[in-house]
Amino acid sequence: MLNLLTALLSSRHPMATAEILAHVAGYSDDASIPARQKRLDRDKVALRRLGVPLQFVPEDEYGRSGYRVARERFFLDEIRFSMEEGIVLAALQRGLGEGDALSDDLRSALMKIAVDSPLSEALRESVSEQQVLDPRQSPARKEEGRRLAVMAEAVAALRPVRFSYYALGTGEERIRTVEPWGMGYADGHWYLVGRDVDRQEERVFRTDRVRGKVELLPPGGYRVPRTFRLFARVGRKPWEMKEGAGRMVRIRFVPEVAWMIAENLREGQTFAADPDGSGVLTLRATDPRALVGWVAQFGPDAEILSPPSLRSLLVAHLEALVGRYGG
Amino acid sequence: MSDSGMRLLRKVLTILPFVQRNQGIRVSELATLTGIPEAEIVRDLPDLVNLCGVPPYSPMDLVDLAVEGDRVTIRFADAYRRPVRLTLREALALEMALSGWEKEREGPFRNAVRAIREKVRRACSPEVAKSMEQASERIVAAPPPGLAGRMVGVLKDALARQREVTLTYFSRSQGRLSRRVVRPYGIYEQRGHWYAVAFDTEKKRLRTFRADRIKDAGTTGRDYEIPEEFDVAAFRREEPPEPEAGATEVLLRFEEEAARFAEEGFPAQEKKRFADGSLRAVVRTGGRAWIISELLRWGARVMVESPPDVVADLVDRARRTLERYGRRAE
Repeated sequence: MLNLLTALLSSRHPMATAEILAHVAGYSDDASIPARQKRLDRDKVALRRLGVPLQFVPEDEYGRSGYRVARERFFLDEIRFSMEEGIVLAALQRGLGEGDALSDDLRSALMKIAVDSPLSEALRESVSEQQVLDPRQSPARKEEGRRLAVMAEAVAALRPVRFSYYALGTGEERIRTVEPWGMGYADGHWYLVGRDVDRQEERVFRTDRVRGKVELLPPGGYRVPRTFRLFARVGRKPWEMKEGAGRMVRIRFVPEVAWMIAENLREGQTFAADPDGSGVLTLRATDPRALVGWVAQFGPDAEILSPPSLRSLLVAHLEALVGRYGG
Repeated sequence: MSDSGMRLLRKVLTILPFVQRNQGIRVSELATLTGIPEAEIVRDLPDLVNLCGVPPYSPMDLVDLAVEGDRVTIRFADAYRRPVRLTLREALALEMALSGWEKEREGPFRNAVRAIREKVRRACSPEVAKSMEQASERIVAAPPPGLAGRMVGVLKDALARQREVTLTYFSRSQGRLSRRVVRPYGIYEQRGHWYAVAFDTEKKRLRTFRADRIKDAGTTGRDYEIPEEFDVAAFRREEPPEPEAGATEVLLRFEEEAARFAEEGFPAQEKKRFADGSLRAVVRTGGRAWIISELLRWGARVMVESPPDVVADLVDRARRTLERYGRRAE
């Protein structure tokens, strides 16, 4: 197959089937013509799958017909990167995982785009290359890399996908068919957002809860709703997960931790600082129980001020804990 | 053609132009870049490509890839002077990897990432470039918010320049801020938090700092060097931020629904599910403040089976919290 590609790339004219069968190694052996023809057909399909722009020319200006590879559409145009850009690419290189499909795709992309830049030296010498790690490039498991690659293709090409999904809340595993709208990485996980076709509803799927392969289905002609905002869906905190308007909650933090809360505010949160360094965080929660867990971990460094129902929930949470140990 | 055959062919098409530009590249380096094991490069690669060429297949029509010692060279591969355009999947993998970098608010590499993206898109086929553009809107990695994002930028910058930094850092175990002079060796992200591994000049050892607990950072103006043997991936594996390494062994039991959640999300060194649905976990840690705060979060959904002093600390902290709500300890 590599011989076929080499011959086509080197030839100045379209190569007819007869010419390939007569001269190109791999096709010019003693097998019968139909057998060799079949081999050629199979390899043509494979080359196209590989992204080779293999064309059949019915007749060129000299009246010759045959196959050609459009060189201008086959090869990557020249790209040159600056040193700083090289460091970023090197950092991506460093974070690559082993043997999963996503890492493989990224690895070959990096090699291709780096070919015109004197990056090898930068790669060897730059420090950040060595030491900035981002697990987004190295999924924990091999299968997850493959799943992410398929899902990204589905999102880009607007193609539905089907997969088996483990729902943590119910502990059940079911087949889901989804029209993907977007994908996002937040808080250590990749999420796929889209319309669950069977439930006819928008859903968010954490990709590491997908079991087995993701099947890419033929394009279904769906559209992403105009109002869709990826980060309204991805990166929500546990207390923002339920639907509905929720309630506004006020929480006071002691000075030792208040600055951290103030400096790491999320969208929709406000913080009112007091002169002594303490302050009050105001946020909206749709799932009060989940918020109670988050506040409880601060111990006496945080206190829910309102609403009273949430104060009671927190008290019940801690009294149940103390009760377990016979307190 | 089989999938593995296709993968190999794709790799070969990438290797041929790369070796032409980097004649004499080391086998080990080529192995890192391509993901092909060194043994296969030495044994299989020449066989695979050296019978290829153009009719009439005289010696100068055949690709000549040679491995001599630990160096790889290539001749007569004129048909493959350039790499093949990116496939859709390669372009998307690149897009996913770059997303997030660009979003850092004050990250020093933000412009570089933008430039890379722009250059790559221009060099791709129009269809792939269009998909990359669409994907960049719909495949996104969230930046670390606020302060954490700024500090990750500061740390990356310090690391790139190898310039010592001073941190005002909140230690959870001490419950207060302190000033540290540190030399960042590496930065990584785990479970949604960003961490720096840095040499603490006062304590004379490597420590892990969480970006969103750094209140303030400045530079001392001093340079430093990172020991060659340091490997951030290995460090993360051996000394994960949670649970902090230490000798206290805490035995936990989770039941029913909580067991499912803990199986996926509780950072313990050992976990075992039992037939009755319960989960037992062993956490070995020196981070007393960390484990207590984690247990407060889970509340009555977890039972601490041992040791008794962790139970005592937990109950004590729960009682002190209840006092804030006007509840007197019994």
